[in-house]
Amino acid sequence: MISADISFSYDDEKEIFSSFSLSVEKGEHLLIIAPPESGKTTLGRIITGSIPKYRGGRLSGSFFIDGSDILALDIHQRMKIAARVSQNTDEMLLFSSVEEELSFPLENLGLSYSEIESRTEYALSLFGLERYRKVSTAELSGGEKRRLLLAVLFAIDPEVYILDEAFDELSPWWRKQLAELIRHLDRTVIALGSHMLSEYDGTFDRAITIDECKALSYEESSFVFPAIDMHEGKDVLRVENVVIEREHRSSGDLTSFELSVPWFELKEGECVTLLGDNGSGKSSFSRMMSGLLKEKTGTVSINGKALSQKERRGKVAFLMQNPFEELFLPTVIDELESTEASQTAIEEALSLFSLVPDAYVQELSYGKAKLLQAAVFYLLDRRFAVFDEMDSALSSSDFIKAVRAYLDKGIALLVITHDLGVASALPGRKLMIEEGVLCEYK
Amino acid sequence: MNISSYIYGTSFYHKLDVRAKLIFTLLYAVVTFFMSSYTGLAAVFFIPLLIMLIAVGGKETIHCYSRLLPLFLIMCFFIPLQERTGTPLWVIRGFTVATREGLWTVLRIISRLGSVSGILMLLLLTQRNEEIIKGLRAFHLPYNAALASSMILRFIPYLGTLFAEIRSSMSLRLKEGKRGYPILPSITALIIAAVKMVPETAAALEERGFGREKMKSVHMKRPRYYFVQCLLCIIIPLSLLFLR
Amino acid sequence: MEKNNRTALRISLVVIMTAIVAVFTYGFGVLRLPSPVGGYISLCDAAVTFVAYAFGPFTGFIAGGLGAAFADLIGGFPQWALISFIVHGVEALLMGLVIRKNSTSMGLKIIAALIAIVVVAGGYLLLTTLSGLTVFQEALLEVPGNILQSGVGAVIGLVLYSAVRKGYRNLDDIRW
Repeated sequence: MISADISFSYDDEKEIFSSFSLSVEKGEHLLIIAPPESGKTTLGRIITGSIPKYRGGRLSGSFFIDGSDILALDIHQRMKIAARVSQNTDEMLLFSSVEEELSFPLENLGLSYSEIESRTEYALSLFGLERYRKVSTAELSGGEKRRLLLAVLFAIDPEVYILDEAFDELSPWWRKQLAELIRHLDRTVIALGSHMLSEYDGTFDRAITIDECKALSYEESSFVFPAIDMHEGKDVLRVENVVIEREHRSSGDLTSFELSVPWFELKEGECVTLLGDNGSGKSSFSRMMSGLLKEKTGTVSINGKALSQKERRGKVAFLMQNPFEELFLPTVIDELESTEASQTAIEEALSLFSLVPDAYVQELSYGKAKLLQAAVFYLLDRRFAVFDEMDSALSSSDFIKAVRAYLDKGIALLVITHDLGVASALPGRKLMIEEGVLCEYK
Repeated sequence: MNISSYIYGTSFYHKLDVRAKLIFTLLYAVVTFFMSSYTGLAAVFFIPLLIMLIAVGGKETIHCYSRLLPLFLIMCFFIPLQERTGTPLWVIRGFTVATREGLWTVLRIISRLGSVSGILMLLLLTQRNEEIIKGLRAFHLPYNAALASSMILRFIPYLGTLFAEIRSSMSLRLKEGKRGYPILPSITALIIAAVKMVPETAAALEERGFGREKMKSVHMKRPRYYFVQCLLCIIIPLSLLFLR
Repeated sequence: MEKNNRTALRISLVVIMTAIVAVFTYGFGVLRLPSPVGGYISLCDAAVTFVAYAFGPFTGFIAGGLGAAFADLIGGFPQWALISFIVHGVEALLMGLVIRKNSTSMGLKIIAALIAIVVVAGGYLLLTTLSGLTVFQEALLEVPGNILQSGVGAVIGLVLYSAVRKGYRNLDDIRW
């Protein structure tokens, strides 16, 4: 059904695909597992058409679906053939209410009012969003936004479903639910992911990977994590009897619940991994530690000295998920020099994080921006740092590089991840959040 | 960040069809400019206030009108400056403090501002934004304009939240001991993020099929007594013109 | 096909710039200083200037006007929305006609800033009084604040354009 052979490179000459060939049978469920930055999202965008039209680049070759080359079609003509769920949910949400988000594509398909109504209701019920119909999209959580995008895709019901990291941000229950839905779907499915999940078992017929711009069959755990040493020192950050109040908006109702941390300790040079699902409170905890969120009760101290919320901001580095939010100067070297570090330290950071000094920050890929963010906080000389799901944006070797650099400098690390493989490869203690309480990982 | 003023309710004004409500709002706002008696001024001022009390309760009503109060007070303060040559109303030691005409001018403006603000707030308080846009579509607001309005209502809270994130991030990058956040770099970062979203959003619009079909007129159900509602919404504001 | 292309891009450009103007006007919930006479002091004019400078008079007119109007609507001052639309729309339109991209002429920039001041301060004075929604003296009270706000805003807007341009070289590729 699908038979494609494409080559693509971005305007900055970076080659993504070179004679990348793909053939998928009708109704086949294909899984593409490849490291970040290898071109998964680019592939999805090429199929639906936003690349090269809106992002530039040179595309050649052909992509036949059911005998017609879709690369010759306009973007909106492809909607019935292939549609996707984007990795970044905010990229494809366009309207102020859930209902409009669904009715817009359906109206564009030229469906009758009653058909739109029945498809909307069906799609909302598939993803448990019935109550959210009139709700503003700004009030949805990450997981709810993901379910909404999935509902839109299932309502459009194209020939080819493209799921770009669609299991991300979903709770374990919804992951199972989605896997179940895919299993019973008689459409062609192409799922893109950066690491294996247990839910993928039995859901997909075949797995491939992208390596050196070509499609290859996937083989498990091609990357072996090297052992990482910790050099523990004497500085210690301690969180005692802290309670954090979190507000969570869901379908317009504001509910608040508490996260309690009876005891947490992070020593200089130590690496601690915090595992847990989205929405469990991992981010709230790291925001509290780095002073972006105020604790309700309890104390945070370094070497026995209690720190106020504002004081913590200068002590604990928090590498947010989206690196572009923490970068604001024109070029890489501007960013690094803004830390007022010495010239030799900057040189060292440039080579350590493989950065090009005069590259423009806004033109960096997501992964490179992530490395730059790591380099900036590395130079700022904070003694404690939080990596918020950094592994999902970087290839394993780059991720390990960053972890190593920090630990070798004696910086204490709290690594937040939901990838068990990553967690088990890292040294040090493992923690999790269970029913609102931070505890040892079981 | 929630930018909708809508407050859930089941009052009669909530239930009024959005098209009828739009007619009422527009006519009412126009009529308030043509009041010719103190009774009329009082009536147009208090009707929205009364409906608001019934529809969304006292707290919201106070919240809404308290924004106007300082303006009203300042205007009252300027009564002596109006219509100096008119019939004296209040004279202290031979000096005319205020005139009858001056008082009329100011009260008329206060009544107008109060009623126009009140009736517009009432619309926003009792109707969801997307319903208002749908209603305007029924009155031939062009499709692309309606589409853009709905998208604007999505991007305002989105960019607002994004700015809050950028601001916190910036505060983390300051040298130890410094506080606050650099304003110019923060708003620059916000604008760059927004500009980068332009092609992304255009792509998303097209991927959702924008441009496939010529858009038909909007589909809206007619409630029971739809014509009665519309008729009442025309008659009531117009009848205010006859108040003496 | 070519025509359709542009429509999606134009809508996105206007929508996002409108949202930017509205967020600047609304004040992010932090930069918001309530003015004693209703409304609030904001960076509205900085955003309007930026949009006019970066994307020209037409986009400026729609995004500047709509952005200010939407900020009034959601900020609880719906009665001023129409006036704000006209004032900030015209402000952006005239500024966009005067300053062209890449024009480094200081003279033109000063003229643009003066236009902002005259249009905003004069426009609000004229329109609020003419519409009969306030007394002349009260409207006069607002003039100094508006002069300050629009003048400072215009200068920030011009600086902002260079800052954005420096950090994002592709800025000029996005056009109406």
